[in-house]
Amino acid sequence: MEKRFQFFVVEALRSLRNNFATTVAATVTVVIVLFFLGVFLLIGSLAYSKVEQQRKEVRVRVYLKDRVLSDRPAVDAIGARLKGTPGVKRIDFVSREEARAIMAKRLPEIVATLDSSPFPAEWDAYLSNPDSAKSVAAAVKGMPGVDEADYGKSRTDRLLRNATIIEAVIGGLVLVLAISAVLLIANTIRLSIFARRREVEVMKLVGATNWFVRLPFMIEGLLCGILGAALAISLLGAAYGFWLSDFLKLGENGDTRPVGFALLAFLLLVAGAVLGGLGSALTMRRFLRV
Amino acid sequence: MLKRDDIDITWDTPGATTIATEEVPRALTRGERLAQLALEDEQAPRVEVGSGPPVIAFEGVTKTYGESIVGLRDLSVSIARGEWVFLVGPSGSGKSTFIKLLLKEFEPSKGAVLVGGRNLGKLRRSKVPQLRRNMGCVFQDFKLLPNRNVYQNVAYALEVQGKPREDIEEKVPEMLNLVGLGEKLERFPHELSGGEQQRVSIARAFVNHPPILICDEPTGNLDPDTSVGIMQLLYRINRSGTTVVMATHDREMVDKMRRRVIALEHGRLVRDERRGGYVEA
Repeated sequence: MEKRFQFFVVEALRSLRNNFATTVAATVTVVIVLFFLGVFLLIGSLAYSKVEQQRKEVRVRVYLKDRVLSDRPAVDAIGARLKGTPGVKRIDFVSREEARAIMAKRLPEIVATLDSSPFPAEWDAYLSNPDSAKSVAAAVKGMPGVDEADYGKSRTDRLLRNATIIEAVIGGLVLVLAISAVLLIANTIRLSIFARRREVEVMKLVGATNWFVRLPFMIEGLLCGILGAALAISLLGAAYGFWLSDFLKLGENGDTRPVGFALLAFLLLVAGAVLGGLGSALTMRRFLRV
Repeated sequence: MLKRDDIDITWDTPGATTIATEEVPRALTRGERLAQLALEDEQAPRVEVGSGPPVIAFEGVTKTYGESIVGLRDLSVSIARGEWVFLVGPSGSGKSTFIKLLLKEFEPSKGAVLVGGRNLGKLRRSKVPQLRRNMGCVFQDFKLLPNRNVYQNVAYALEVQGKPREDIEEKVPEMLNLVGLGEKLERFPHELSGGEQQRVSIARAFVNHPPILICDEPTGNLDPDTSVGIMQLLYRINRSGTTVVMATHDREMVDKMRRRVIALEHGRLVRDERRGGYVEA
């Protein structure tokens, strides 16, 4: 078995050498296609995580009237109502002093001039589903002691709308790019096999089984795919180190970051191998009907 | 499955151990050379034509392509073991259809094709490679693999069967010696003359010692003198007991050799003579 496999690898290598121009064409196609797919995945995943982070930050802030603060049960009732509304993940109470402390971090000069806290106490409701912001706000509006339930109406509405559009566009573009990658590579393989269809015909006439003909072609495709992917990853790595990482860093903060480079490299390598190997096997089908 | 034992051939027939071409003096015309070849063949020791069940049988075979194009029409012939058969007829008469049916490149529209007693219609597609290994094929256009040298081309026919390397290294040079190409193992097809390429293809077809050899105008692309050498080779193979079916347009050859002739026209059998000529006498 081992010897057999060796035979097929030798056959594949021989044919890669004999059809050097085709090998180069196929490999270059894989390199170009996977390189662009890689660049796009990096940028796209960053944009996606950015949008997701924004969505996570959507929260409903329920400002409390000062006079209700001494009435614990009333404050708790508002919290309980919030907590019980679908779409709320967790709630936080922010006292007047805490609100001041938070603001002090953002605008220390101004807050330092204040003697007491001018900021109202609030319940912050963090949402498991940002789309429910509006209904959460409506649930507590009008309760005694509630001054205002703010979900950043216009901003949140716009964000949610844009997030959906941006995610759809990214997803769509990745899909289009991936499909064109598959088609482009499939076409290259088809051309290279078409150029050798007479050879396949002869092999079958001499009594070769389909697998005997197919296997060297598959190994060939696999090698081209892996080689192309490796080159694309190197190019991507160079580009990444050179300027792409700086560019991407502009968009990075805290927990938004593009897909890790190692993961990306792995994905591209798998894509190259699968496209090359499986692509060859599938394309072979119509040429094997002899 | 079609086994070699079903048809049982022996290659080691006395007098048939070398197939190298003998140099025939130039002065003879092609006709004279062919006549000489026929005579030589007549006298040489040979494996007798078998009287048992036919190796190849067509039973009422009709093959149509699409609605109206007829490849073969109700053809019934049987060919005995060790027989030599010329398949003649104008282009489009059904010779190629006959050969393609034998190779199970497609199925008959009606009737049955039997090889070694087995109905090819009942042979599973996965067994087709087995069938083809039992039938050597020689074509007008040689059909050699362009990227492989002479040795590798012949070796391929053994590699597809998963023969061990030691076996291949022994048999291939031996076979190429027999066809007179022992010195040209490393050459590539495009470096050879037409006659030499056809010898390689014969070596490839016969390296397994298949019971049946199918030739589709093997001399069609060769000059008249070279073709005599190729025929000499094929005769020797036939004398060793291999059934040979040869489609040809070479009138002089058929007339001189006086072997069985199956003539087709518009897909119909018009003549089947034990010792026939290219046209009806």
